[in-house]
Amino acid sequence: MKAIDALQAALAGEHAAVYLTGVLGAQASSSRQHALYAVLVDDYREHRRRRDELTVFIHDLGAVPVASEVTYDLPAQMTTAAELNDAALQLERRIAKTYGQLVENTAGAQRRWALVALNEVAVRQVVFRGPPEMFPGSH
Amino acid sequence: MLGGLGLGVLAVAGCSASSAPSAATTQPVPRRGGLPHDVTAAVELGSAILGAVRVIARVGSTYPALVRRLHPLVTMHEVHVTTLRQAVPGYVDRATTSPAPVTARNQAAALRLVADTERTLHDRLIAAAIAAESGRYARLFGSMSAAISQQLAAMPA
Repeated sequence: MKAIDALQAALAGEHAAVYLTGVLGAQASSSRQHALYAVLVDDYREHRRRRDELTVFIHDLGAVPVASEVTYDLPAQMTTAAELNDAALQLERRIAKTYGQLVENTAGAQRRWALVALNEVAVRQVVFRGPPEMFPGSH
Repeated sequence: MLGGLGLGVLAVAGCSASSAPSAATTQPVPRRGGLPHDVTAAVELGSAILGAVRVIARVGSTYPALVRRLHPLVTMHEVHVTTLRQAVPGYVDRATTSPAPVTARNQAAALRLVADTERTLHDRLIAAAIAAESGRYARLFGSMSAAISQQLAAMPA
């Protein structure tokens, strides 16, 4: 895989992540589920930041950043705090793999950035009460 | 589109925490094509990991109450070293010098010592991932660094 393709894949993943974390945050109650709401809002901001940075990287390479889909399929169960948390955890696990792929297919500053992103999303899994993995972001 | 991108909200819906792949199925072992530079790095990292395990063992012998809390770290390191051994043809553990005796005055200080050791190892893995000539080794080292980040995040204060 070429670096630009891995970057585009990561951007597409962050588009989906921004969408989903926005929906999850909207579903959570800031008063009754304050802690969950706070981490979802933080998660949304982090995904949005990385989405924007990836957009700049790709643009600087002379490519057209992949656009967001109009909408995305959502998890079937997003009612309880546990369901919202689980959806966020699965999201972080999946995007960790995308960043593992980005580490594998980039070099230099781009790989350094991807490593930071991989570590960040791995820690977010723990924030969403996921057990530590042996190889986050691996195949 | 989503499925091919490795991140699908639909796919997210179909997953559960219990469906997470086991460590045995997620080891990104770059069995072939490792460049000499990367092979050297893998052996050196294996030695560094064994050094970190010895620090934990020393802490555990000084403060037995911490053994259970630090067990996940040891397990992770053992899996990582096993993976490095599998990744490098003819891998031979390098001799490691014994760590200095633990001088932590109490359990909290001992945990800080372990955390500092892990952060140092984490930084070495990041540096090795950046310098790796093979993308597969870069991903392996990067994944190992992320595993340490998770352990540190989950480590009780």
